[in-house]
Amino acid sequence: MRNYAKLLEGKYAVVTNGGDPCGCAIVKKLAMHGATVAFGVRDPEIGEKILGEISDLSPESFYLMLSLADSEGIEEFCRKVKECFPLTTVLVNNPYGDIKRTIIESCEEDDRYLLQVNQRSVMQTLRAFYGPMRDNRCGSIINISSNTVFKPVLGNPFLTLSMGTIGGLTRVTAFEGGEFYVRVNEILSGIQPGHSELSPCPLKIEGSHVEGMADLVLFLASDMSSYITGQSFTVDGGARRQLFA
Amino acid sequence: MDYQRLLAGRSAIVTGGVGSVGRTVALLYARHGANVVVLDEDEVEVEKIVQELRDINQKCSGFAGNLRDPESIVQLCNHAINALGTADILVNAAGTYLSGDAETLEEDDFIAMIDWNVNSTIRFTKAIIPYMCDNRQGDIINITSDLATASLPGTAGIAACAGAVLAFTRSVTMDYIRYRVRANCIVYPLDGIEGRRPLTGAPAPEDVANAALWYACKMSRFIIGDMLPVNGGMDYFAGMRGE
Repeated sequence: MRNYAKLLEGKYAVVTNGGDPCGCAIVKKLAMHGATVAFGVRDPEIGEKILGEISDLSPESFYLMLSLADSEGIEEFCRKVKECFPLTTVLVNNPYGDIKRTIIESCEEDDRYLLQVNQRSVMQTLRAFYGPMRDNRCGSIINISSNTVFKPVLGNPFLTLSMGTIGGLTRVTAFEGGEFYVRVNEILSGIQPGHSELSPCPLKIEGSHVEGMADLVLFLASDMSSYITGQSFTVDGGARRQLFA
Repeated sequence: MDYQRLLAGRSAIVTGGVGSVGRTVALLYARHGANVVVLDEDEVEVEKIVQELRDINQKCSGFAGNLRDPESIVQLCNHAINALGTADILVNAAGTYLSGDAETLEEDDFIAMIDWNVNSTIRFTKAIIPYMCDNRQGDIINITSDLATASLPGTAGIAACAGAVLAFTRSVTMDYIRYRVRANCIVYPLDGIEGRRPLTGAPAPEDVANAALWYACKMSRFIIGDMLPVNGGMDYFAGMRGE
């Protein structure tokens, strides 16, 4: 039987935003299952803390300073990771941009920031890592967006706008990558950027919510999901379905 | 969480347990520590899979009966509950496929497909869900065709059945989530139905079984009323078939 306790043994994984509660849980989960993980953080103290927690499980994992608002910084992050990893086979895009302003209150600067953080950053990492995955006919890309795409929140139009594009990008990349065994899937998260709890939902879940998100990332990153691509998974405890009930 | 025994001590009922998918699900569940009961129509085949399951876990068993008859289904469920003591997981994997479009599909064939795919799913759920509600927990996994969301010529009957199963899954979720009973649906391409898809080849029964394991265990505790297509991405790709 497959070793379900080490689903990512020998794999190299990249997580773009490992510093927020969700990203941190994902980094730890991938490392626990045997992956060597490179993750970006905005705060080096958080990076060191996470590294301390996973060093026994995955001694070669490392973090790099990364702001998804800095386009050149993302290019530099990708270049350094590619220098260190022989082949990245798992890419987790975990953008975090959120500005709570209505359409009337917002300005162009807000648009630019959110589109860079939530949308362009995903394009940049895809451009960097998709090619080598395709050439080696092996890879799993997981793009995390927000369930506000389907269940909008008042006063938060730009999160919906910027996250809404990730689904289309996921399906196009899955379309391209399918014949090269590069799988691409999207998670519509009910945990809003920077938070560690789900927004209100019908299912009262015990235990850590971010841990549950990390378990889905693990499933999609591993061969457990080897025939699943181009899909959008909603992780919101049924909140989206309630909209249509 | 012990990832090598994701279902340790849980009780699972698998309908259609002698088919390739049902059988693979039952064996994977048993390897992950579940006490499994398989239900299907062919007594000899049921006995064979029970022997395989008991090599893994002595507490597994199986029963044969008519999966299209309401009374027989109630009896099978009673046997299963007596054997297991309770039911934590129900996998509805029984089903059949007969081709035909709206004009050519024979009435008897359509009724047979409805009985196998839709009615059996509803009847097994109806019989088992009270036990799950009493226990304040349960996981229902309905396995059906990916024609629930994509369309191919000559598949009117199975597409209608798959769509019904998917809608039923979501409805069950909304009605029973207050009892902490989750329902989710796995869709996959049935044997003999060819479609273009980004990932080449066809899914192995293990691919579907891994999805069923995922939905049954705590790894997916956030996810309810959802559909997991194990189909190489065909549901959106089908839109390109006019080329």
